[in-house]
Amino acid sequence: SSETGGESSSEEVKKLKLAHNLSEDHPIHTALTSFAEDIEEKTDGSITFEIFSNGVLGSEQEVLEQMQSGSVDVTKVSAGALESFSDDYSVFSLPYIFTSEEHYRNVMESDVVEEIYQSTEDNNFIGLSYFDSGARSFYTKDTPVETPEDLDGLLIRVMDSPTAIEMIELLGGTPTPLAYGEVYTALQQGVIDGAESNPTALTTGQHGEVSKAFSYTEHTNIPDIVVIRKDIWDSFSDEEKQIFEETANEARVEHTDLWNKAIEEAVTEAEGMGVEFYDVDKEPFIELVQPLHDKYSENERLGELIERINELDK
Amino acid sequence: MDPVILTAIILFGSFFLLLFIGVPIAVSIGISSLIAGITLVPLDMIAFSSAQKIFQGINSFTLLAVIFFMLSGSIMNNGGIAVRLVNLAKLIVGRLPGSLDHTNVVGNMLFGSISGSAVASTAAIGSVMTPLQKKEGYDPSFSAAVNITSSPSGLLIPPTGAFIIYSLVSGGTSISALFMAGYIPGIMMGLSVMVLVYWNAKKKKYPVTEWPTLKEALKIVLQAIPSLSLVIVVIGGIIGGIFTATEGAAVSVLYSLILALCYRQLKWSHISTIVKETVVMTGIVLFLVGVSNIMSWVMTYSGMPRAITDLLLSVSEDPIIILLLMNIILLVIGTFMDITPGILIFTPIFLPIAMEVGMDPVHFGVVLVFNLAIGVSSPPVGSTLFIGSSIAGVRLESTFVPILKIYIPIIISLLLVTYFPWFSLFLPKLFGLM
Amino acid sequence: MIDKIKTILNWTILFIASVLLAALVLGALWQVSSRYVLGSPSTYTNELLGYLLVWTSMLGASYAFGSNEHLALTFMTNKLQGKNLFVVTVVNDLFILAFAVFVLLRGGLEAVTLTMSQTTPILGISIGLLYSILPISGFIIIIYKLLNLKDYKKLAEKAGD
Ligand code: NA
Ligand code: NA
Repeated sequence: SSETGGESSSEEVKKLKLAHNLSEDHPIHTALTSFAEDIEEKTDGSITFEIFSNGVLGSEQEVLEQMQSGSVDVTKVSAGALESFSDDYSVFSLPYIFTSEEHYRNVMESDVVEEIYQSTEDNNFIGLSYFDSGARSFYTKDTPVETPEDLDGLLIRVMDSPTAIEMIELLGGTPTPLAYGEVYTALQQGVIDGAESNPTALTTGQHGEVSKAFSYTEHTNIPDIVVIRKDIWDSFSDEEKQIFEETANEARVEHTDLWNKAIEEAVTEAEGMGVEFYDVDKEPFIELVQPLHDKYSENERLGELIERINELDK
Repeated sequence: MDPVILTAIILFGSFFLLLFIGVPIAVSIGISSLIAGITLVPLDMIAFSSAQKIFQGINSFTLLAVIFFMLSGSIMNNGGIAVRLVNLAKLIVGRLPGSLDHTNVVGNMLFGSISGSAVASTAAIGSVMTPLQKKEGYDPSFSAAVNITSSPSGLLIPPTGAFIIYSLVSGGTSISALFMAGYIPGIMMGLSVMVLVYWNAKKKKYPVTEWPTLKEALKIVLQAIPSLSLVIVVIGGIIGGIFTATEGAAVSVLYSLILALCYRQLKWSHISTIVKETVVMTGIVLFLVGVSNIMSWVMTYSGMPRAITDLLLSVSEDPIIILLLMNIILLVIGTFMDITPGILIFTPIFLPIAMEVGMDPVHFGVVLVFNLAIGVSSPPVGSTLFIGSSIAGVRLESTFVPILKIYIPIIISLLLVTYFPWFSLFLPKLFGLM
Repeated sequence: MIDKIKTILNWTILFIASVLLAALVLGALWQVSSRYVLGSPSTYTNELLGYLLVWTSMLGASYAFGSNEHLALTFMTNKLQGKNLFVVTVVNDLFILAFAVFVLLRGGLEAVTLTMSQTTPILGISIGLLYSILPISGFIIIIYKLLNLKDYKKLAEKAGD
C-alpha cells in the first residue's frame, strides 16, 4: 500500500508515527521517548518520531490494524493483543509458564521469542523488542487469596482472553469478563469480588480504594511488545536495523529500572490506602493450572514453543 | 503554511460548507474528515481508518445503554407508563410555572446520573415528556432545548464513566474524590436550566396546575408507584451492585415491557412502531457517534491539539486569562467532539498547564467534563442535540435560540466552577478524600 | 416495480434489525441472570453484544438513508425552489454516494481484507466477517440512492416550470 521505503535512504527523512496507550508519566512513555530521541540522534536525524500517547489513535487492536493499513509505524502493545494476529503469542498468557524472574529473562532474550516476533510477518508488522509488564496477581475486596480454595465462588474480573477465563475456572473462581474502565465501580458495588493485575492497578486505577487484599499469586507475566511495520523495517539499512535493535534494548533496560521503582512506589502508596499484601505458596496454584499446559501442548506448534521455553529454565 | 493549520482549514471549511448546503451531518463529518485526511495520508489509509473508527466507535458495551433506554422510553411512551409518572411529577412541581419543563430537568438529572449517558437520558426522558409538553401547549422547541441542555448534567453527577476515564488519563486522580466533586457542579448545571425554565414560563404565562384534592393526590401516588419502582429497581440494582449501568438499562426494558403488558395498553401495532422507532433512531445516533470518531482521529493524527496548546501559551501567562481561553477552546472543540475522545485528547495537553497555574487535578477534571458536557448539547453538532430534537419532532435549528438562552446561566455556573475551586472541592474535602 | 423493490428492502432490513434488537436485550438480561441464577457469568455476552450493536446500528443507519431521516441543517435548503433545489439535492446525494463508496465500501472492504484472518478473543469469530457490515451498508445505501432516482424526475419537472 505505501512506499515509505524509497531509494536513497541517506537523504530523505523518515518520520515515524509511534503510538501507545499509556499516560505520559508512565515508565513506558519515558522509555519510548528516550528510544525515539536516541534513534534520532544516532541516525543524525534521518529517522524521527512523532509519539501519540494515551491511546489517542485507538485501542491496541485498532492501532495494530492501522499498522497493517500503514498509518502507524511503531507501537507498544500487550502480548495479549497480538494473540488475535498470531497464536504463538498465546504462550505468554499461560499461567506459570515462567518459573522465575531469571527464566522469564532467558526466554525473552532467546531465539524462541525472536521467532514469535516474526510470526506476524503476514500482517505487515513484526516484533522488535519487549518491555516488562510485571507479574499479575489477585486482589480482592477484603479476604486474601492465599490458597485456591479462597477463590471458591468468587467472581473475578478477567480480560477478554480465553486462557485467563480457563485459568480462573481451573482455580475454582468464577471468571467475569468486564471492560477495564468498569472494574472500579464493579468492585465498589460488589458486582465482582476481585480482579487480577500488577500492584500499579491499585494506584493508577485507584482500585486500592475499593479492594484491600493483594495476594502475590504472580500467575502470569505477560510482556509488552514493541511492534514495527514490516515494510518500514525492510527498507532500513543494516546499520539502521542495528541501531534500532540496540536502542530498543537500551530502552528496555531503562524501563525495567523505572518499572521496578514504579511497582515499589505503588506498593507503598497502596499500603497507605489500607491495602494489605499477602505472600502466597504458589505450588497448589501451579498444580491446578497444569491441564491448561497439557491442553496447549496438544497443539503441535504451541507444544513445541512450550517445550523450548521449558528447556530454557536452567 | 503550517500543515496543521492547512488541515484545520480544510477540515472545518469543508465541514461547514457541507452542513450549509444541507448534507446530512454524519456525511458532512465523514466527507470533511476524508478530505482533510487526504492531506495527511493516502486515500486508501484514510478510507480504512474512517471505516475502522465508525465500527469501533459503535462497538462498545457501554453504548448499549443508549439503545436500551430508547427502547424502554418508547415502550413507556406507548404503554401508559409515562402518563402516570408525569401525573406524579405535576403533583410535586405543579405549582411552579413551567412544571413540565422542570420535571424534564429533574428527570434528566436522575436518569443521566444513573445511566452516565447524556444521550440515553435525553432519549428516555425526552420520549416520556414530549407528548405531555405538547398536550399542555408548551413551546416544543423550548422544551426540546430544556431536554437537550439538562441531560448532560448526568455526566457530572456520579456515578459517571467520564470521571473514570479522566482518572485513568490523568495518571490516577482519585475516582472517589472526582465522584464527590461532580455533585455540586452537576446539580448547578441542572438548576441553571431551571432558572431559564422559570423565566420562560413567567414570560409565556404557562398555566400553574391547581392543587388536586387529597383523594386525587393519593390516587395519583398509588398509580405512579409501579412506574416509580422502575427507577428504584434500576437505581437500586446498580447502586446495590446487582448489575452494571448497561445491564440496568436492559432490565428497565424488561420492567417497562411487563408493566405495559399489565396496563393492557400495548397493541401489536405498537410493537412494530416501537421496534422501528428504536432501530432507526439508534442507527441515526450511533452512526453519528461512530463518524465523529473519524474527525477526532484526523484532528489527533494531524497534531491539531498540540498546535492549539502552543497557541494558547503564546497568548498569555495570566492564570485568569489562561483558564478563560481553556474554557473557550474546550467549548468550541467540545462542539464537534464527543466527550470520551475529548477527555482522552485534552487531559494530557491541558492538565499540565492547569497545574502550572495552580489548579488541583480533581478541580481540573470537573472543569474539563463540565465544558465537554456543554459541548454534548451545543449546536450545530451534539449528540443530545440530535436525539433531543428528533424525539421532540422539531427542526434542529428551531432549538438553537432557546439553547443559547439556556447557556447564559449554564456558562455563569461554569465560570463559577472554574474560578472558585470550592464548588468542586468542598464535598471531597468534607469526606476526607483529599 | 421500483416501489416494490424498496418495500422489500425496507422490510428485510427492519426485520433483521428487529431480530438483532431482541437479541441485544435478551443477551444483556442473560448476562445479569447467568451471574445470579446460574452462578456462572456468561463469558461471551460482553464481546458479542458490542458487535451486535454495530450491526443493528449500521442497518438502522442504512435504512435512515433510504427514508431521508438523517439529521441535517435545512435552513438553507428550505428556502430553495425550482432549479436551485434540484441542483442542491443532486449535489447532496452525490456527497452521500461518495461517503458510501469511499468510506463504507472501499474503506470497509479494506478493513474486511486486513482483518479476515484475525479472530475475536472470546468467540473466535473472524473480525473481517464482523467488519463486513460496513461494505454491506455502503451497498444498501447505494441501492437506496439509485431507487430514489425516480424522485429526481418529479423535482426536475418542477424545476422546469
Ligand atoms: Na452519572
Ligand atoms: Na456539540
